[in-house]
Amino acid sequence: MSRRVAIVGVGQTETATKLKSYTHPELAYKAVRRALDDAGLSLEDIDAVVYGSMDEFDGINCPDRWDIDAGGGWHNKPFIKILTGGSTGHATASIAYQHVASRVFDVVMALGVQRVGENLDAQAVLNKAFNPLFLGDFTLGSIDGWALLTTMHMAKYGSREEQFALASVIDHEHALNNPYSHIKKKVTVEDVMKSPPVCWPIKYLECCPRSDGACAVIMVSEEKARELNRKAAWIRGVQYIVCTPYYGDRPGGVDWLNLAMAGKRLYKMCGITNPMEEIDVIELQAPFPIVHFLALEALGFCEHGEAGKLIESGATRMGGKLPVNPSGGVICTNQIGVAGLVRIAEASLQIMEKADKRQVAGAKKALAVGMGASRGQYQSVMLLTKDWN
Amino acid sequence: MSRVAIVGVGHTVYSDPGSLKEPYWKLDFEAASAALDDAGMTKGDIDAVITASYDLYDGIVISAQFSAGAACSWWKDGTNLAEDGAFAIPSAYMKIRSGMYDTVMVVSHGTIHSHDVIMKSSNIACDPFFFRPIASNNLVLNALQASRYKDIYGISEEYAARISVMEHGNAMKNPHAHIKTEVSIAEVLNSPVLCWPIRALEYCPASSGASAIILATEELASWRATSKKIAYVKGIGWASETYQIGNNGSLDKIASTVKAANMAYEMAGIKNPTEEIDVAEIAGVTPYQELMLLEALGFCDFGKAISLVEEGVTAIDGKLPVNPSGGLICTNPVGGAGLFSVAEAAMQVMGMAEGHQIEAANVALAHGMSNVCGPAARASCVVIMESEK
Repeated sequence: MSRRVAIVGVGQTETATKLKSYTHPELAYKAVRRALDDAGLSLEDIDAVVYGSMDEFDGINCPDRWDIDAGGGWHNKPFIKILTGGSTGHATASIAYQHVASRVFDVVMALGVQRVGENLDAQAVLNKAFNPLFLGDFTLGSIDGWALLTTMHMAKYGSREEQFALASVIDHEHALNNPYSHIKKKVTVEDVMKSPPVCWPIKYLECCPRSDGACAVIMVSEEKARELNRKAAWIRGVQYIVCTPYYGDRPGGVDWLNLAMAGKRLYKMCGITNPMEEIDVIELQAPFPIVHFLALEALGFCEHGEAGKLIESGATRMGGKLPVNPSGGVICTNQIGVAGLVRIAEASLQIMEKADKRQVAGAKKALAVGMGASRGQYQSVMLLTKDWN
Repeated sequence: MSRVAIVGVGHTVYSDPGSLKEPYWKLDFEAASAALDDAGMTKGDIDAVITASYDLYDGIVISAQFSAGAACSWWKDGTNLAEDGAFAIPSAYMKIRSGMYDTVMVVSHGTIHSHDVIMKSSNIACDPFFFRPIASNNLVLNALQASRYKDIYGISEEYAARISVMEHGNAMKNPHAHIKTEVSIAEVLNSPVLCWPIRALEYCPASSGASAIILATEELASWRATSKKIAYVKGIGWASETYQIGNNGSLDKIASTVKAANMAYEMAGIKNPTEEIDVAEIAGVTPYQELMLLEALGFCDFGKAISLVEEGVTAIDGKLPVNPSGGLICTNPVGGAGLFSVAEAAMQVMGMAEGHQIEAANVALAHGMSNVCGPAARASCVVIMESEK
């Protein structure tokens, strides 16, 4: 039987296109220090570290090595590095969870560090993720794939460009409340619609930025959580699922059957029967508005094709029935390999009532959704709760 | 407490990467298929998958996206470690012990094309301020470490050559080994110096090939019981090392291996490793590093490894045979080398090794190292296995 695991500390750094004042390890240390302070622990208390980063952006091969001392790996601690593209952050957290759930360790830190600002063009890096024989020459990056999925959704369900724009507007609105957010700018649907198309139908104000930033999350066993006696978020369940990198080959197309399956497994694990009624807040790794649509539909918050209406109803705004991304999400801050971990950190802050201006009142169940690699090849969900039952 | 078993092992052929005609994921597929056949399972029996690979060595961003399907992870939990393949074993162990999964497939490959690529990618794993500009890389740092060790303990070049001769001799008996040439001490000593004191015939090759291991719960393993022996994971340990070479206080004492071994020994209840372990597969890329590892693993005191070799203890017919497979000096799938060692050790206790089978091998130790920038910032992993019919 799994041992119960709780998150007791969260540390985030500020984010920017290029954080010039820190080196890689200094950035790692900043997140680690803040997480330790938040949990009331010292570096000696950490049994093991799980580290996540996507090397190619950072101008260094295996930055985990450089960060090892600042990143909590000092004194020869067990330290392991994860890389699964954009889903690295979520994968890091789920491996860290298993470190504790398996009873091998009591106190484990999940750490993500990313410096996208070290490279001139993130899309050129991402082009190298495509099969070099068939797809590499087509100058594919991240945005065009999401644009294809957006048009597929428009064709299949008749969703409109204004609906996608609104999802971006809401994320921008929420980001104003988050001190760690990269983009802080109030925009309207009109502004978004008028901004230049980057890859139709995706417009400039619907695109995530590329951000430098780090995040650390401390997980402890149930016994240790009792001993610490601090505010905690229970990891009630976690699921991770893989699908083919060729997104045209995926069964279900824009219906994202893989995320739907991960969601079903999670709900079964946690005894959730009606996600819309039972879940209080979502943190979603959505670099473009289309992900809001695909994820909300796949996870059963509305019928397929209905996400546009759900967003228009105001349900996903702060104060709505199901606030999505109180942090402002990835459209406003994208530390690529860390963004998934930030979703878990932000969901935990909601449960621990430490989210300050972006706090959703009375949040008892928070869902963190991560995804990455080839347009959601890896999908993951984690449910954080205030009480175990 | 339920144990974790190794129920299947698979290797591909290991060969010169220059002769590789197919992409790396074909190797993953071959190894995974071989492991499934060995376990008498089909891909549907696997619950979760862990791959281990480095993007820079594969030449593709998020190279794991293509390994994932080859390792049968579609619609399953699948993650990727940017560490040496050996680290996938503790991660799989924790996945099973957390109660989430019954069977986990672990796959890791090496396809790096040449030592030139290793030297370039290990140079950019060094920090940009101090280590990178002085052209440090794997070979240079390994040589620095070797000459230090040679100096302190007065190891003659003949002794180092003897170890290489022994490894080459063992590899002749192993059908999976890459380099199969009988060499003499004179040949080793006459081979060109790559970086003093390391000579060409003393340094690991770059091999292409993959290995796969299937782990399962004890219940599942005994339920599926076939006529062959099963290996149980008795102990796991892993640890990191500080970044800057020399900061450890000592270049010649491999601190991460000491820590990892102690963790694994404690878990396995091993008090006297030399007496209790029947066979070891360790990841030394030079004869000097092998000696240091024998000491770090507690098989003898620091500085005394050479007498273990002199007394024939580590020979294939000795009391504690080390690297009956021929070790990394003869087969080095960079990135997957540690899993090669684990697979070889598992095959010993499962009685599956062929010409190099050790009689009465009941307890085996496997050791793997992530050393992307040579002896700087190493991470070590130790796995101890025990056989049971």
